[in-house]
Amino acid sequence: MAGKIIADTLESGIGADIATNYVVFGSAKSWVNFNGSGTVATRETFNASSITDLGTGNYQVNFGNALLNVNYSANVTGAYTDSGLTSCSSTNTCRSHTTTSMRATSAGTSNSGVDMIRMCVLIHGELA
Amino acid sequence: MSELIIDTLTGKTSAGDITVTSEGGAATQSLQQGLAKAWFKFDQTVPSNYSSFNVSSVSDDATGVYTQNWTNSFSDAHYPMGMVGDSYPNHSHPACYMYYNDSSSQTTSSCKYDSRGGTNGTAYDQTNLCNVHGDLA
Repeated sequence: MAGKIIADTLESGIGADIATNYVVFGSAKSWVNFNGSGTVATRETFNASSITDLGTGNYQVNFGNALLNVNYSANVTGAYTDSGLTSCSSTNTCRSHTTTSMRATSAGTSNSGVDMIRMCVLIHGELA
Repeated sequence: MSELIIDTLTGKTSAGDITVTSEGGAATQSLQQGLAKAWFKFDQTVPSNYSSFNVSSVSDDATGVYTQNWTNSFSDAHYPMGMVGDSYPNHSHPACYMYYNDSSSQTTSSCKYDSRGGTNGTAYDQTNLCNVHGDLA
Protein backbone atom coordinates (compact mmCIF):
# COMPACT_ATOMS: atom_id res chain seq x y z
CA MET A 1 0.00 0.00 0.00
CA ALA A 2 1.29 3.42 -0.93
CA GLY A 3 1.94 5.88 1.89
CA LYS A 4 0.14 9.21 1.97
CA ILE A 5 0.96 12.37 3.93
CA ILE A 6 -1.26 15.43 4.18
CA ALA A 7 0.67 18.42 5.48
CA ASP A 8 0.73 22.20 5.24
CA THR A 9 4.43 22.76 5.93
CA LEU A 10 7.71 20.99 5.28
CA GLU A 11 10.71 21.77 7.49
CA SER A 12 14.23 20.50 7.05
CA GLY A 13 16.46 19.32 9.87
CA ILE A 14 18.32 22.65 9.82
CA GLY A 15 15.13 24.57 10.45
CA ALA A 16 14.40 25.91 6.99
CA ASP A 17 10.70 25.51 6.42
CA ILE A 18 8.50 25.92 3.39
CA ALA A 19 4.75 25.77 3.05
CA THR A 20 3.69 22.82 0.95
CA ASN A 21 1.75 25.12 -1.37
CA TYR A 22 5.13 26.48 -2.51
CA VAL A 23 6.10 22.94 -3.45
CA VAL A 24 2.86 22.28 -5.31
CA PHE A 25 2.42 25.72 -6.90
CA GLY A 26 6.13 26.16 -7.52
CA SER A 27 6.68 22.90 -9.37
CA ALA A 28 6.66 22.86 -13.15
CA LYS A 29 3.48 21.27 -14.47
CA SER A 30 4.97 20.35 -17.82
CA TRP A 31 8.27 20.53 -19.67
CA VAL A 32 9.53 19.19 -22.94
CA ASN A 33 12.65 19.19 -25.09
CA PHE A 34 11.81 18.38 -28.71
CA ASN A 35 13.32 18.42 -32.19
CA GLY A 36 11.36 20.99 -34.19
CA SER A 37 13.19 20.42 -37.45
CA GLY A 38 12.14 17.74 -39.96
CA THR A 39 9.96 15.15 -38.27
CA VAL A 40 9.05 16.70 -34.94
CA ALA A 41 9.93 14.39 -32.06
CA THR A 42 10.17 14.75 -28.30
CA ARG A 43 13.51 14.02 -26.65
CA GLU A 44 12.42 14.23 -23.03
CA THR A 45 9.10 15.25 -21.54
CA PHE A 46 6.99 15.60 -18.43
CA ASN A 47 3.21 15.90 -18.87
CA ALA A 48 3.49 16.76 -22.57
CA SER A 49 1.61 13.97 -24.32
CA SER A 50 2.55 14.99 -27.86
CA ILE A 51 3.79 17.78 -30.14
CA THR A 52 1.77 18.80 -33.20
CA ASP A 53 3.67 20.32 -36.12
CA LEU A 54 1.52 23.25 -37.33
CA GLY A 55 3.99 24.54 -39.90
CA THR A 56 7.43 26.12 -40.09
CA GLY A 57 8.41 27.36 -36.65
CA ASN A 58 4.92 26.68 -35.33
CA TYR A 59 4.29 23.89 -32.84
CA GLN A 60 1.52 22.85 -30.47
CA VAL A 61 2.42 21.28 -27.13
CA ASN A 62 -0.38 19.00 -25.90
CA PHE A 63 -0.60 18.35 -22.16
CA GLY A 64 -1.36 14.97 -20.57
CA ASN A 65 -3.04 16.36 -17.46
CA ALA A 66 -4.95 19.57 -18.19
CA LEU A 67 -4.15 22.92 -16.60
CA LEU A 68 -6.75 24.52 -14.36
CA ASN A 69 -7.09 27.64 -16.52
CA VAL A 70 -5.38 29.40 -19.44
CA ASN A 71 -3.38 31.80 -17.29
CA TYR A 72 -0.34 29.60 -16.77
CA SER A 73 3.21 30.82 -17.38
CA ALA A 74 5.31 29.46 -20.25
CA ASN A 75 8.97 29.80 -21.15
CA VAL A 76 10.08 28.91 -24.68
CA THR A 77 13.75 28.60 -25.66
CA GLY A 78 15.02 27.45 -29.04
CA ALA A 79 18.24 26.63 -30.82
CA TYR A 80 18.31 27.12 -34.59
CA THR A 81 21.41 25.14 -35.39
CA ASP A 82 23.73 22.71 -33.69
CA SER A 83 26.84 24.30 -35.13
CA GLY A 84 27.32 27.53 -33.29
CA LEU A 85 25.67 30.89 -33.19
CA THR A 86 26.39 32.73 -36.41
CA SER A 87 22.94 32.26 -37.92
CA CYS A 88 21.15 31.56 -34.71
CA SER A 89 19.23 34.76 -34.06
CA SER A 90 15.62 33.93 -33.33
CA THR A 91 12.60 34.89 -31.29
CA ASN A 92 10.68 32.20 -29.47
CA THR A 93 7.20 32.95 -28.21
CA CYS A 94 4.09 31.29 -26.90
CA ARG A 95 0.42 31.94 -27.66
CA SER A 96 -3.02 30.34 -27.96
CA HIS A 97 -3.07 29.02 -24.42
CA THR A 98 -5.82 26.49 -23.68
CA THR A 99 -6.06 24.19 -20.69
CA THR A 100 -4.92 21.23 -22.79
CA SER A 101 -2.42 22.75 -25.20
CA MET A 102 -0.28 25.76 -26.08
CA ARG A 103 1.43 26.96 -29.23
CA ALA A 104 5.18 27.62 -29.24
CA THR A 105 6.56 29.54 -32.19
CA SER A 106 10.01 30.50 -33.42
CA ALA A 107 11.03 33.16 -35.91
CA GLY A 108 14.32 34.24 -37.46
CA THR A 109 15.76 37.69 -38.04
CA SER A 110 13.29 38.37 -40.87
CA ASN A 111 10.43 37.63 -38.46
CA SER A 112 9.32 34.65 -40.52
CA GLY A 113 8.91 31.19 -39.04
CA VAL A 114 12.02 29.06 -38.63
CA ASP A 115 12.18 25.44 -37.50
CA MET A 116 14.33 24.97 -34.41
CA ILE A 117 16.55 21.95 -34.03
CA ARG A 118 15.96 22.17 -30.31
CA MET A 119 12.91 23.63 -28.60
CA CYS A 120 12.43 23.68 -24.84
CA VAL A 121 9.09 24.62 -23.23
CA LEU A 122 8.60 25.00 -19.46
CA ILE A 123 5.10 25.40 -17.99
CA HIS A 124 4.24 26.69 -14.51
CA GLY A 125 0.72 27.21 -13.21
CA GLU A 126 -2.07 25.15 -11.68
CA LEU A 127 -3.31 21.74 -12.77
CA ALA A 128 -7.03 21.02 -13.04
CA MET B 1 -2.28 23.20 10.57
CA SER B 2 0.13 20.30 10.21
CA GLU B 3 3.90 20.45 9.85
CA LEU B 4 6.47 17.87 8.85
CA ILE B 5 10.08 18.32 10.03
CA ILE B 6 12.27 16.15 7.88
CA ASP B 7 15.55 16.04 5.99
CA THR B 8 14.60 13.77 3.12
CA LEU B 9 11.51 12.82 1.16
CA THR B 10 11.58 9.37 -0.43
CA GLY B 11 8.80 7.57 -2.27
CA LYS B 12 7.50 4.48 -0.49
CA THR B 13 6.45 2.38 -3.50
CA SER B 14 9.18 3.80 -5.75
CA ALA B 15 11.96 5.82 -4.13
CA GLY B 16 12.18 8.33 -6.97
CA ASP B 17 8.44 8.89 -7.41
CA ILE B 18 6.33 10.89 -4.97
CA THR B 19 2.98 12.05 -6.31
CA VAL B 20 1.24 15.26 -5.35
CA THR B 21 -2.42 16.12 -5.87
CA SER B 22 -3.07 18.89 -8.37
CA GLU B 23 -4.29 22.34 -7.30
CA GLY B 24 -7.73 21.59 -8.78
CA GLY B 25 -7.82 18.10 -7.28
CA ALA B 26 -8.44 16.33 -10.59
CA ALA B 27 -5.03 14.78 -11.12
CA THR B 28 -1.85 13.61 -9.46
CA GLN B 29 1.62 14.18 -10.84
CA SER B 30 5.18 13.40 -9.91
CA LEU B 31 6.72 15.76 -7.38
CA GLN B 32 10.27 14.99 -8.44
CA GLN B 33 9.72 15.61 -12.15
CA GLY B 34 8.08 18.95 -11.53
CA LEU B 35 10.88 20.39 -9.45
CA ALA B 36 13.53 22.58 -11.05
CA LYS B 37 16.82 20.69 -10.93
CA ALA B 38 19.08 23.72 -11.36
CA TRP B 39 18.89 27.46 -11.89
CA PHE B 40 21.32 30.32 -12.07
CA LYS B 41 21.64 34.06 -12.56
CA PHE B 42 25.02 34.72 -14.09
CA ASP B 43 26.98 37.96 -14.36
CA GLN B 44 29.35 37.85 -17.33
CA THR B 45 31.23 40.95 -16.18
CA VAL B 46 32.80 39.06 -13.25
CA PRO B 47 32.17 36.33 -14.45
CA SER B 48 30.31 34.38 -11.77
CA ASN B 49 26.82 33.44 -10.70
CA TYR B 50 24.93 35.95 -8.57
CA SER B 51 23.05 32.96 -7.19
CA SER B 52 22.52 29.41 -8.28
CA PHE B 53 21.16 26.01 -7.37
CA ASN B 54 22.93 22.73 -8.24
CA VAL B 55 25.80 24.53 -9.99
CA SER B 56 29.30 23.55 -8.85
CA SER B 57 31.34 25.90 -11.06
CA VAL B 58 31.30 28.00 -14.22
CA SER B 59 33.87 27.94 -17.03
CA ASP B 60 34.62 30.99 -19.19
CA ASP B 61 35.22 29.32 -22.58
CA ALA B 62 35.26 32.26 -25.00
CA THR B 63 33.63 35.64 -25.52
CA GLY B 64 29.97 35.12 -24.63
CA VAL B 65 30.47 31.37 -24.22
CA TYR B 66 30.24 29.73 -20.82
CA THR B 67 29.80 26.28 -19.29
CA GLN B 68 27.74 25.71 -16.18
CA ASN B 69 28.82 22.53 -14.37
CA TRP B 70 26.15 20.69 -12.37
CA THR B 71 26.74 19.41 -8.85
CA ASN B 72 24.31 16.52 -9.27
CA SER B 73 24.25 15.08 -12.80
CA PHE B 74 21.22 14.53 -15.00
CA SER B 75 20.03 11.12 -16.16
CA ASP B 76 20.57 12.04 -19.81
CA ALA B 77 21.65 15.02 -21.93
CA HIS B 78 18.18 16.08 -23.11
CA TYR B 79 16.99 18.05 -20.09
CA PRO B 80 15.11 21.22 -21.08
CA MET B 81 16.49 24.64 -20.21
CA GLY B 82 14.60 27.90 -20.21
CA MET B 83 17.18 30.61 -20.97
CA VAL B 84 16.94 34.39 -21.05
CA GLY B 85 19.61 36.98 -21.75
CA ASP B 86 19.34 40.32 -19.99
CA SER B 87 21.29 43.44 -20.94
CA TYR B 88 21.78 44.38 -17.28
CA PRO B 89 24.06 45.98 -16.16
CA ASN B 90 24.80 47.70 -19.49
CA HIS B 91 21.23 48.29 -20.70
CA SER B 92 22.66 49.21 -24.08
CA HIS B 93 21.55 46.15 -26.03
CA PRO B 94 17.76 45.75 -26.05
CA ALA B 95 17.71 42.39 -27.82
CA CYS B 96 19.72 39.77 -26.02
CA TYR B 97 19.45 36.05 -25.98
CA MET B 98 21.29 32.90 -25.06
CA TYR B 99 21.48 29.55 -26.78
CA TYR B 100 22.83 26.09 -26.47
CA ASN B 101 26.30 26.21 -27.94
CA ASP B 102 25.86 22.99 -29.91
CA SER B 103 24.36 19.56 -29.40
CA SER B 104 27.55 18.01 -28.04
CA SER B 105 27.91 20.72 -25.42
CA GLN B 106 24.95 19.62 -23.34
CA THR B 107 26.05 16.66 -21.24
CA THR B 108 24.69 15.04 -18.10
CA SER B 109 27.16 17.01 -15.97
CA SER B 110 27.36 20.40 -17.71
CA CYS B 111 25.93 22.68 -20.37
CA LYS B 112 27.83 25.08 -22.62
CA TYR B 113 25.88 28.01 -24.02
CA ASP B 114 26.32 31.09 -26.18
CA SER B 115 24.88 34.50 -25.37
CA ARG B 116 24.53 37.35 -27.82
CA GLY B 117 22.63 40.57 -28.29
CA GLY B 118 22.01 43.69 -30.30
CA THR B 119 20.91 43.73 -33.90
CA ASN B 120 23.94 41.89 -35.23
CA GLY B 121 24.17 39.12 -32.67
CA THR B 122 27.54 40.09 -31.27
CA ALA B 123 28.73 38.92 -27.88
CA TYR B 124 28.94 41.41 -25.04
CA ASP B 125 28.74 41.37 -21.27
CA GLN B 126 25.26 40.60 -20.03
CA THR B 127 23.34 38.75 -17.38
CA ASN B 128 22.06 35.23 -18.09
CA LEU B 129 19.09 33.69 -16.31
CA CYS B 130 18.24 30.03 -16.64
CA ASN B 131 15.86 27.42 -15.20
CA VAL B 132 16.68 23.77 -15.75
CA HIS B 133 14.22 20.90 -15.54
CA GLY B 134 14.52 17.23 -16.42
CA ASP B 135 15.42 14.10 -14.50
CA LEU B 136 18.45 13.77 -12.24
CA ALA B 137 20.57 10.63 -12.32
